[in-house]
Amino acid sequence: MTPTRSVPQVPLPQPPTGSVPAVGITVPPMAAHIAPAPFTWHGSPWDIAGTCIFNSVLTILTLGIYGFWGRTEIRRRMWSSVRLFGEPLAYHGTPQELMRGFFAVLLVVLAPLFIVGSFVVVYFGQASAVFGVYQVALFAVLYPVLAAIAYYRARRYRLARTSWRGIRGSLTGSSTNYGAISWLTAAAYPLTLGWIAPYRAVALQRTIVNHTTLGNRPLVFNGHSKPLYGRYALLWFGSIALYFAAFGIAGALIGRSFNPVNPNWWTYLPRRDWAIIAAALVGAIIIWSLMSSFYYARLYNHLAHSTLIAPADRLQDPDHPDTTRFDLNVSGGPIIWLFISNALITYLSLYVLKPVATARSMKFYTEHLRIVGPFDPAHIQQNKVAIDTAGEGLAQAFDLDAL
Amino acid sequence: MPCDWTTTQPTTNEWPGRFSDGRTAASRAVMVRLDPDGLRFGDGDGAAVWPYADVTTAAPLSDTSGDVLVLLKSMPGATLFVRHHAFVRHLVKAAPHTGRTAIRKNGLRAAAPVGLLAASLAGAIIMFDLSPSKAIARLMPDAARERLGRSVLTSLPVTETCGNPEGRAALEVLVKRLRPDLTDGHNKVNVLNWQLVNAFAVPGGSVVLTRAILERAASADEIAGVLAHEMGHGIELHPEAGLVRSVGFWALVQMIFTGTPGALGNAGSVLAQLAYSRGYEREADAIALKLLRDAKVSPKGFAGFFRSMDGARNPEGGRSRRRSTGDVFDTHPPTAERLQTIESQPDYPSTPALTDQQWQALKRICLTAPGAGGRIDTTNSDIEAAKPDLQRQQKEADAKVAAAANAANYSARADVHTQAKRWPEAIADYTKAIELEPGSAFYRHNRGRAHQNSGQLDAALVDYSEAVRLNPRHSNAYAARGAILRLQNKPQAARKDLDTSLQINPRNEYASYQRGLLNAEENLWAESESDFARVIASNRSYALAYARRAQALEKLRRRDEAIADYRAALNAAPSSPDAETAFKLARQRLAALGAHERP
Repeated sequence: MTPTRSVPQVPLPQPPTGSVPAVGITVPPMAAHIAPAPFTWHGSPWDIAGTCIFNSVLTILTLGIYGFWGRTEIRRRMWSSVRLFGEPLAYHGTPQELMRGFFAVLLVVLAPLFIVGSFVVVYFGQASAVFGVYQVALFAVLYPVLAAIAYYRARRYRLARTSWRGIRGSLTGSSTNYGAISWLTAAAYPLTLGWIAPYRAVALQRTIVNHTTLGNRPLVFNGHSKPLYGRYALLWFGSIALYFAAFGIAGALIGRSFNPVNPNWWTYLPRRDWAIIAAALVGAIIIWSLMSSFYYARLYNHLAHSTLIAPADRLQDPDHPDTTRFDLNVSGGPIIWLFISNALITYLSLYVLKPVATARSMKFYTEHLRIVGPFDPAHIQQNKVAIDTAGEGLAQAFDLDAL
Repeated sequence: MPCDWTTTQPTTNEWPGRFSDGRTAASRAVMVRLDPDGLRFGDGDGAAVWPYADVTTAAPLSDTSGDVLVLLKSMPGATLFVRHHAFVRHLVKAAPHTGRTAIRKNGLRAAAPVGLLAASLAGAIIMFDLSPSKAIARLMPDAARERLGRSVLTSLPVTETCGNPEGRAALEVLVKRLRPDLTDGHNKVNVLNWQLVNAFAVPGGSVVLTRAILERAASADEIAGVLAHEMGHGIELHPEAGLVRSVGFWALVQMIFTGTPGALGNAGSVLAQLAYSRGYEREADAIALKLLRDAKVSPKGFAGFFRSMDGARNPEGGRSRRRSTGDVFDTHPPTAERLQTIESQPDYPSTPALTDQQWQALKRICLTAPGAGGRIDTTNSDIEAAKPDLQRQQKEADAKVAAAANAANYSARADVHTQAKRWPEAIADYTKAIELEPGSAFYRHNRGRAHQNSGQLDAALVDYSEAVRLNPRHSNAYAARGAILRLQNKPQAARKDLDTSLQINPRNEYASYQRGLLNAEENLWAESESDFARVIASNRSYALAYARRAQALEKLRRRDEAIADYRAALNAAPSSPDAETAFKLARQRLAALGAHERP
């Protein structure tokens, strides 16, 4: 069944000071979309390359101040490249907000950390137990928790400043709660030998999605980690097998030439053995990267598939024909290529073209993302949520990527 | 009649677009016109005007923009999307503030004052030779600086301090002479039992000298120069200022790159700090020269130390093969420049920084029971020194030197020091002998051996090279130099020297042993076995030679012979060099081979 909805007549809006009176117009009914609604990317990620170079020069010349304007311009252009039904997203963040956020974090988080760290070093010394405890507290607890909080808050900031057809997103909920989940599940990694990874990914995504809205429509996450464990098991056991295979080959060859008498024994390792060892290690890295990317492809697809756009009265079943949900269809090969090529772009350009790499990622995932099920834009209304006035300083301080 | 924006073609001055009111995500097709008073749009049943001054766009517009999402500042949420290049071009003309250039100008207007301020500050700092990091460092309380210094000292890889009473007394004399204004200056000079030739200043005005630099220095004047230089760093608060500067550069990089410094920022920060480092070294040199002049100590010792260090880097003589220092990657100014500065000082009346006795006491500061904070040095030198016959020989040698301070007597006393493993004293006496007889390859070789035994391999290389230059038939010097080159992983040069040594004297046991090791390192097991056999032929009680030959035999798959050699090693003289190593190795291998220690 194809539901059709009539949209109430809406007079064209006027600015408060407009001189031409508004006249009511009749709007044709807008059909709800049943066919998958694809996202598209407009233009090329490389369109912003010149702007990146321009921004970097001005950022250095102005001791970083122009960077807030430069970053905002880049985001406005990136957001505008993402299209749904041919119409672009809009980014509403301002340079002033980013600057405020950065300086707030500099003063409230980084400066106190620096002062406390200096105090511990000066008064207790680097060889003291107090310094050891401080380092553990800093790197094992405080930094991971702050990084997770930063990620959540940055996402909140960006969602609140992203609109499509004027409708903004929002993220409510507690960033501290997210930080706690992130830290606790990360702390369980060694205890579970890494088997908590899929559970953790789903738990973190659930926390974010269940507090996200698009206009007045909340998103609902109804996925579980169980479907991920098959591919994760392949990755886990595959990693172990690869580890033993690669290091076994290397160990056997090294053992043949190892000479306890000569501390420089390795200089006598035959070239052929070097080549075999290098091939074994590089091959292991390539195979491991492919296995990882296949797992991550599955993970991303699963997370998208489990994200529903919810009217409150609808059964949250991703397979129900009336359910509106996101759908992502990426595979491992392209993901690994994207990762490698983006790393090359970022490092070879000394970070100057990092936004291009980010845009390439956005383009890739945008072009593989779609909305399936009944999707009626007319039923998505504006949701007025209070938005932070400061930028994403904490995320910048922890060097979190834009996306 | 509503228009379809995807198919409707623009008329002369009207374009199809889609309008959303921002209350819902629905949009509808409209025709848009660029009127003089604003954007006018509607769909036939209604119309609206958005004044140009009130509109903005989702993305900055440029000549290449193919579409535009127009927003109305006074009505958040309302959007108008037009997908026509011509419309964008006209809109930028009508509302220039939506263009990319105008938006960038806004950003620059806000950021340029900061850039100008920074440029002015940088200019002022360079023009007036200001040092903000020093100014901040001066604000640090003394207690904090001293605590910071202690923290640095405790974090060093070697923390064992030296301080026997005689040595401390000599140090106190030297420090008082250089800094008579300080009451406890000597307490701020730490001598560490560290085999690394180094001296440096730490926060709080403290200075660190290593045992190796004391042993390396040829005179008290050299150490006085080094100490004055480090004191100069302390007086100018260079360690504290360096710390402040590091933090400042880090903060600046964070600021410029807002959390993503990247390689560009880090490289710039490091290079800038190196430039400051070279400046500080020049300042410390200038202060050192002033302290030496005030103390009436000749700066020639200071220059001599630089020459000696430069010579160690370049054992073959002449200017260093290493690329000239003084480029942007160096922490210190070029040695030639520093030497020129020192040597251009006008002459003034001077006396040695310490008496000979005090200088010897300072050099030996690590050798006997130290003062507070140190530990008793339990090296063989003390044990040997305690032996009555060595003491007697020492007295006799001292008496001979007192009677006739010639090269032979200095050399003889150095030999006694060598037996007692008192390397600094041995080096000092051989140095006197060399000064009196510069053409003696023998003294050069012996001093090289003392340098080698005290861990100063570079200095030993210089001596051995000079020995073979003076006497090209000096088999032992070739062998010793070959041994060092082997340790420094220069197998080709080592082999050349060892072969030469054995050509001159085929019975050179040390050369055979070293070549045996070199062959083993290069997996030439048959040659290695042959060399160790040669050693054993001339010294049948050399335990480690048996063990090494056994290893070669194992590699040659001659198991029974290897077992026999391991057993021979266990039966060899326990007093032979490194006998314990040989015994341990032999027991391990016999166990691994499943053989008993006795047949």
